[in-house]
Amino acid sequence: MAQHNDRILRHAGIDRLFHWLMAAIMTVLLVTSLLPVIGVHFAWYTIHWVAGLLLTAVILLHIVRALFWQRPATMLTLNGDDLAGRRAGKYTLPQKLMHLAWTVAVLVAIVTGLLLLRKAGVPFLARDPYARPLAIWGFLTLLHDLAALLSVFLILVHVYFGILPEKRAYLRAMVRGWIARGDLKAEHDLERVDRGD
Amino acid sequence: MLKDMMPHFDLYQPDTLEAALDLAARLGEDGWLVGGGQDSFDWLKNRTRRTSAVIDLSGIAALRGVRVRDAGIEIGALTTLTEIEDDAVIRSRYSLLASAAGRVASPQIRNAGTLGGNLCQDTRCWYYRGGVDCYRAGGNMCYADTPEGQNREHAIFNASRCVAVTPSDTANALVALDAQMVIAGRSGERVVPAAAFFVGPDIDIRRMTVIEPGEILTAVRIPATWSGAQFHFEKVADRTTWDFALVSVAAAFRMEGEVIRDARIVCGAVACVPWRVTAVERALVGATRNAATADKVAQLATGGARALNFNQFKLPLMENLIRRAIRGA
Ligand SMILES: Cc1cc2nc3c(=O)[nH]c(=O)nc-3n(C[C@H](O)[C@H](O)[C@H](O)COP(=O)(O)OP(=O)(O)OC[C@H]3O[C@@H](n4cnc5c(N)ncnc54)[C@H](O)[C@@H]3O)c2cc1C
Ligand code: HEM
Ligand code: SF4
Repeated sequence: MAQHNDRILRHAGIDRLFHWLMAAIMTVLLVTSLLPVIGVHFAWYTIHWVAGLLLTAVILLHIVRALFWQRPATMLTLNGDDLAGRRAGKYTLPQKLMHLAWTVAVLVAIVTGLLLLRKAGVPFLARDPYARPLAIWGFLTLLHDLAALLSVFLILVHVYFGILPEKRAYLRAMVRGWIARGDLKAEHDLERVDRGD
Repeated sequence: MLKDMMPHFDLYQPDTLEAALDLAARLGEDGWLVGGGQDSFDWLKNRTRRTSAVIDLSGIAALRGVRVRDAGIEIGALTTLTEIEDDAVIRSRYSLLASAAGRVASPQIRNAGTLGGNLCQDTRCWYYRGGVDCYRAGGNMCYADTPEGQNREHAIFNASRCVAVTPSDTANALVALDAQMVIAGRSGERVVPAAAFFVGPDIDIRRMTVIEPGEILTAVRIPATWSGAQFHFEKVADRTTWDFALVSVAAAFRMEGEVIRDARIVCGAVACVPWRVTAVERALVGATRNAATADKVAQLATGGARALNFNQFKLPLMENLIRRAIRGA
């Protein structure tokens, strides 16, 4: 077990809060939209769009925080070190790719979901299905549903790796905030980590 | 394509419930149940819906007639609307249902139409009936709730993407009478309260009742609770006969002298399901059944209503019908 002073802060409290909020809202979005498809009928639609708006707000806050309080490059860039298979900075290549896939799935779901509100109807927006041609609505629905399918797939992969014993330190970091330097040694270059790379 | 001619389908005419259930289970979604055919044949002749097989339930004698049971009554689902309108027990104890059945469509349709068919009939939204690919038909659009959509007949409550309303007159009376629906399937029988039998678009946008493929509504039970209570049924439609409600009200009052001990107020054609106006029901308990009470509580009826472009008139109409129901017209 690593010594206490070997611990480094991996995720600040606010980021952990964002992560678990997003996870909870994503679960609500998936449960509300997919259970009816497999025959479990309940009043899903209002819960779904309210959760959709909440997710939009949390993602926006996450983006603002990442842009101005964190170094987006840490997560978003794939640099030569990553591609050459050298040891990673704060995030490993699979972690960066997982984040990228989530970004695509969630942004597509949000953009299409917000646009679909106009057709499907919400109390605060004049409903106008004729605002766009039928084919565009069909296309938006298709993209929204594909984003949902991708999310189901990503959740399975994300949770599977999240609970693997050898990846437990990352899970603990997302719960408690810290990670032991010892746990990072195998895959990360501690110098790069310290540089915030 | 020839409209108004019956298309081809295999016709099954079972004479026992067991045979009908076997057929319904075997044919599943392909076995279209028919009582009097007054809703079904529209769909089939217009080719807006197709089926390869029809199971005609009208030959099952056990599903017809009115029986006294546990101090209440049980009505077979294949009993015609005319038989219900004319039945002596229903007229004396549950005249609300007789009045509602008597206001359905026309005498010819009531002679053929069955209680089960009237309760299970599909909505009359004309976009949907016209065969457009809307949400209810499995598409991803509602044509009625649009800036230009013709939605004079549509919902003011509980719309969720779909704004269609229930067309059934008997449904509202049965919800007011706390009826129970008896549903048979091959694996047995289940009994569902009338209020839970009807399904709104928030729960399932594709169907109107909880009946699953393979199941048959066999009977409706009405408990003794409301037997001999004071009733009021009123329906406003564009024509006084042969027309669906714009708004209707089915009301029941259990009295203690002049005072209302319990009340049921159920409106038709304002939501996709018979709409219980519980705020008014609660306000009526302990009140006197007169014009002053009616004026005081009727406006509670439309709290939470959301009118569409062409059906704002339903709000005052609903309040006025409830006012008339409370004061006894
Ligand atoms: C011009 C016109 C005006 C009308 N006006 C009114 C009106 O004012 N008020 C009103 O309430 N109705 C009205 N109707 C509707 C008519 O009353 C109903 O269509 C009729 O009562 C349905 O009964 P049916 O037995 O003929 O139904 P069917 O057509 O035989 O069946 C209707 C539906 O119920 C299903 N079904 C039938 N029996 C059972 C069962 N036992 N178990 C499970 N499912 C079953 C069928 O599969 C079908 O989907 C009108 C119809 C017409 C054509
Ligand atoms: C990743 C998160 C999301 C997932 C997995 C998801 C999934 C789905 C699915 C599968 C459907 C189709 C359900 C059906 O028709 O039975 C749907 C519908 C819908 N979703 Fe989402 N969704 C997500 C996010 C959002 C967001 C952010 C919004 C916007 C607020 C939104 C708004 C809608 C709307 C309005 C519909 C109805 C569309 C219509 O009826 O045409 N969703 N969603
Ligand atoms: S109101 Fe319902 S049935 Fe009518 S067009 Fe809209 S979705 Fe279809």
